[in-house]
Amino acid sequence: MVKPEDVLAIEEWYSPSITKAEMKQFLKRDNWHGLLNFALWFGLLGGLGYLGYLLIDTWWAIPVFFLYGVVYAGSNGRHHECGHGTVFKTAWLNDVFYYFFGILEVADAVAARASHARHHSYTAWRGIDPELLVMRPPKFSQFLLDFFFLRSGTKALITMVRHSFGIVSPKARDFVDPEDYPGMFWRARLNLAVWLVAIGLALYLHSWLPLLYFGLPRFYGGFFLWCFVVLQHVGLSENVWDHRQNTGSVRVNPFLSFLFMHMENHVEHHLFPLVPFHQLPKLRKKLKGQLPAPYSSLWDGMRRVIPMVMKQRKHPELFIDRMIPFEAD
Amino acid sequence: MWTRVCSVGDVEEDDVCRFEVGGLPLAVYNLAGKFYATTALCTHEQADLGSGYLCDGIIECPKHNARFDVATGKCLRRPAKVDLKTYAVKVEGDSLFVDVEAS
Repeated sequence: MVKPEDVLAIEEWYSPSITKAEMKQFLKRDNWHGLLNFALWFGLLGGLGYLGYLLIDTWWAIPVFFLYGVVYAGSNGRHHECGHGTVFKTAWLNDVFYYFFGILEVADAVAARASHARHHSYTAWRGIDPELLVMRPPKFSQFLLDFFFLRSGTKALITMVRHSFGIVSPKARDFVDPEDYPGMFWRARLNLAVWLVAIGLALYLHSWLPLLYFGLPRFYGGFFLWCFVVLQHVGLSENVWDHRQNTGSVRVNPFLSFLFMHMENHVEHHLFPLVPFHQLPKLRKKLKGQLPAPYSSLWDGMRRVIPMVMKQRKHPELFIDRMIPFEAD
Repeated sequence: MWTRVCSVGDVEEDDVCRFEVGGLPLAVYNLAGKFYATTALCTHEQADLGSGYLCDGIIECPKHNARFDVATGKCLRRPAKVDLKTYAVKVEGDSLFVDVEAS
């Protein structure tokens, strides 16, 4: 069993060259970028939801609700960014939205925070990082299921129910401070209550509509999000102190960039987790010569990662070698 | 024991800088012209607070966003649980001194 403290004792993360003055500019926070982003997201979600309602008796409802789900899955990026506390300068806004998006994301607010802290400390360290999406050797069927959140989502729902009953999940037991268990249980109960209201409403109305608007969209709209998060670490090197090797960035269109809050700049995010989402594109430009070239698109990334995942079934030691520019060395 | 750490001008207003004094890592803060000092290591996983985010008298750990009140060292946010050790600071002429033994 690998002990985190033993690994941390030898920590030597790669750090790119950037001056303190430059970093200070990148770290600047405000509220308006976050408020504008969230207002657009809520507006888009509300608009698609209303359109879906109007078209519910036609076949057009299918693509509209699919789009609704894709946008809904953007809660993942918002939950993540608020967890880092960087979306808003006003701290309580980050916390409020962190809990809100955690409900949509089927994420346990307390466990997710602890899990993500460890993910950043020990990124892609096998046996320690709790957020590795694909184990080695990978089970390809599980990988495919998560294109629609079926494996991870089901596990998250089970964890929510377990925590609601005061039973600590094995993963949470590994990294959540026991002092935080009561808070974790109450947040899980709140999440469960919202799910029960939606299910109760669906039963009362004899309609799937409440669940098409809440809960299920994270599943049926999860395709692009899964592609997006897979490229962040899957198939890359493990057990190295270098985010250039174990983390991937990708170029996406402005819509997906907005939807996932610029997290396509994932190497940059891991190098400097306090940089707010809206500064990441500028940071990417600044560090360009020092980091490996990003995947040129989701498709480019998936066509490299999926074959590697398949190869790792027989050869788990293989990984995609990220080419580090000479300038960085 | 009062020890000279740096010149006053080395720490810009609303900024934090890290210094080593006899092997002791210190974070020195300038909050609107008033100076404070704490240990430079986050009590969670010893990340360098000298490269953290300073705003409204609160220093945020660059790694996991633990927050501490600069003046009191009080821990304000998880994942850290333990307060920062604080040190008295005085300015004499152009020099900034920290009492590295008192806390």
